[in-house]
Amino acid sequence: MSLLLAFVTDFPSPAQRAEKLLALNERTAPYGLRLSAADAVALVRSGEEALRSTGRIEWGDGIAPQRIEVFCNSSYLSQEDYAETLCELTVLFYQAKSLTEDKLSDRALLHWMKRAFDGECAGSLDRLAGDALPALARRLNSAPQPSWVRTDD
Amino acid sequence: MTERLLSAPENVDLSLIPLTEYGLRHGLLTEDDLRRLRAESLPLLRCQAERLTGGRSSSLPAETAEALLDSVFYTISLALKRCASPEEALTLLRQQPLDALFAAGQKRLTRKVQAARLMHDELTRSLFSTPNAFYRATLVDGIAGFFKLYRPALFAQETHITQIMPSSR
Repeated sequence: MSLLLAFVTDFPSPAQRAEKLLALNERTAPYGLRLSAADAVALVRSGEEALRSTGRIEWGDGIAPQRIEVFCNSSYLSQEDYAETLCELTVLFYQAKSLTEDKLSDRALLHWMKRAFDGECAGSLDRLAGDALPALARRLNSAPQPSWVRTDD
Repeated sequence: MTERLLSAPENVDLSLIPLTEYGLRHGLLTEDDLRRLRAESLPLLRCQAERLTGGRSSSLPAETAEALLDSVFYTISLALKRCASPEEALTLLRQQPLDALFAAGQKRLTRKVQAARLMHDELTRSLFSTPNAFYRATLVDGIAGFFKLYRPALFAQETHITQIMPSSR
């Protein structure tokens, strides 16, 4: 993090973020999915690591709660690999944001990833990472910049 | 000697970060003041990020976030630079919330941009006649290009060079 950004130190703590993820267990329980406290902390940590490795800054509660809400009804998720899959999806999400040069909103990218995961990738994270996301990036990067990259104020 | 000259009140940069450092060094700001300033910076950065992305992204590349924060501090510095001395600016910094100083800075910046546009309009009406095409291209189109590129609400600190340079051919 740069010196200037280091001046701003009041990002939510990992514990605060983990608490918010645990609160979503109620929402995912009907699908037989549940995070433990350790899973929630691991998910927060993987998000921080993914942000660092992709050179991004995130604020507020971040995208993790939305990711859980979007993916929890996937028939390819099971309690055995739920936390691990969410961690891998976290990494893929930020990689995709960078690969696509922020051309898609968080919501649009998440829904696109869910459709690809449930559809052509048949629940395979390898296919999502190796085929679907690079294809999306190639398609988007030949299109013009998003309106918010250059807008009149 | 150099240190003394740099820290003399008349030589202190009234921009936010150097002013904060000066205040801490001379006991005019406390660690509590600094904590408050830091805590108030994040909502401003978040607000600017949401403004940039239209609330459609909860993360940004670090360099974009840094540029937004740089712009926030630049704008706040414009409000502080109206003060006659570092002591006066530090009093303002202690008494006013950062978002109020940011709003005051934005107001000042808007007025400066409006004044610059008026000066440019005046300039374009008073060009002298010359066969040198670059004279007109720089003063009219080049400066107009700056106004087109400059985004004071989000990237107030940016400097755009838009002058037209003749090639050597």
